[in-house]
Amino acid sequence: MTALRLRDLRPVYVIGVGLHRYQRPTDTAFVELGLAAVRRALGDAGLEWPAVEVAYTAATRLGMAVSRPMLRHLGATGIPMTQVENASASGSSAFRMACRDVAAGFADVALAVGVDKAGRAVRAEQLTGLPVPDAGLVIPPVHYGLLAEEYLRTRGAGPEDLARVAVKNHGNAARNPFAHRQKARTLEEVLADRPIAGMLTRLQCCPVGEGAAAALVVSGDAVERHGLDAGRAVRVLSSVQRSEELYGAKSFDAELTRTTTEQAVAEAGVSAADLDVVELHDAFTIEELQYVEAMGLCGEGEGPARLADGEFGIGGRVAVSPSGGLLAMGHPVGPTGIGQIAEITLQLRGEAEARQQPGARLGLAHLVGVGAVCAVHVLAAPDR
Amino acid sequence: MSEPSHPLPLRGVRCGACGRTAFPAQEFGCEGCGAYGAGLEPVELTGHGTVLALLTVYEHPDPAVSTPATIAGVQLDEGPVLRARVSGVREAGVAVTAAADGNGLIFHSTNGAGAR
Repeated sequence: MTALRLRDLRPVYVIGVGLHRYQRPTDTAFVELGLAAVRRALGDAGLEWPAVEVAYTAATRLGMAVSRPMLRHLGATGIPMTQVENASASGSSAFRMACRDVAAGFADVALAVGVDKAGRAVRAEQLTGLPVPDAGLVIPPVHYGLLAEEYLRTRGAGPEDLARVAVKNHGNAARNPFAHRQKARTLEEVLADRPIAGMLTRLQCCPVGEGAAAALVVSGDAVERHGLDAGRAVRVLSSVQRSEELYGAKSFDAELTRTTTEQAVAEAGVSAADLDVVELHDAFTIEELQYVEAMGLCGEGEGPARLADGEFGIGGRVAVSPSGGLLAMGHPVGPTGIGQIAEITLQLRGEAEARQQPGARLGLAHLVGVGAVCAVHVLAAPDR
Repeated sequence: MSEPSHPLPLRGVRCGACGRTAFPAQEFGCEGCGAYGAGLEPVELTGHGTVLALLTVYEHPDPAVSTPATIAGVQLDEGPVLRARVSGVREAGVAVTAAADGNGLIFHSTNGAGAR
């Protein structure tokens, strides 16, 4: 039996998105962050809270049972609420669950909301009891720093090739009022910033703070019944999630991205070359170079040259991380995957203002969760 | 993340069903085929490998971890890839051998300090 694809079920649309700015840690309660995003999404959609039939909440550092202490303040309607945790991909997975509920007909209106505060996360991988011989040194910037060393050496690229990713994404975020970092940076500033691990400087590592993002997903029936604006409904063409396999000495992040993206693009009935906007897991600069190649946005080893030519900038062939990405819009973790959906929705509606990619019709959102899981969604403009 | 007091010899497992060699030793199950328990044979690894990449760690959020430190990705001759500290190695591709110091596992250049 062949597994069902999202497109084999009824059409699913993103009808409303909302954000609370990603920012440094504050005393603001997660409740206030989350509610701000959900109320903006409801307003954007033209929906009232009682129309929402199911909710998925992505959060990684708020403990158990995050949904109700937040969502009850919209009115206790008794709907099913489920918390979703998948590391960096938590928001992507929550969005995927909402899409599947609507596609299958379990609900006509579903909410995916991500909310998080800064704080320590316990990683189960550290509780396996298996020895880790790295003397505690391998934290995420070190993992990606090692991949950067290997990438630059084998591709004959240099530190400025990495730094150009940060220059582009910080520049995009400077035009995004919801971004954590809103300051454009020069190549010199990025290269001369404080070193963290190997060639990765501070400005090449994402800020992890707090924030919230929400997306409302609906069926065609709901668009009609609630009198919603079909001209602002962005269709979700595919939703694919995979987990890490065995790749030998190759970068598992890149290989997992390759297989997941291939499947998501195929299930959407498009090709990578058709994409106009891509939001990807650029927590560290090296990731964008690896992933644009793994996704097939350019050939292997061509990432640095295409980036330098402006192909991945806003107005280029395909805008990569027009929001500023994890690097500069920020990575509050729970909200991140849903924030990507918000950006792509604005882009495909033509509502991204100063960040608008001209003629954007097809978008892709990609996140990996500690390398172990990868989620990819392909979305299409209302008139596509 | 308890570091064993004696990291050497490096202990891994060889899967009796699919032949895959993995590090570290464990009985939970083989990532290649799912064989577990007695299906996984404990093996001592040679500790010889090749550096895939290395870098200097300048900052670490845990004050107990001293920086700067040099860490490398090492592919062992038996196949597994691991991350550990290295000493006296300046570039990728160098052959290294496992050793131990007060902080646990550390790889040294097989052919002497600074060897290619």
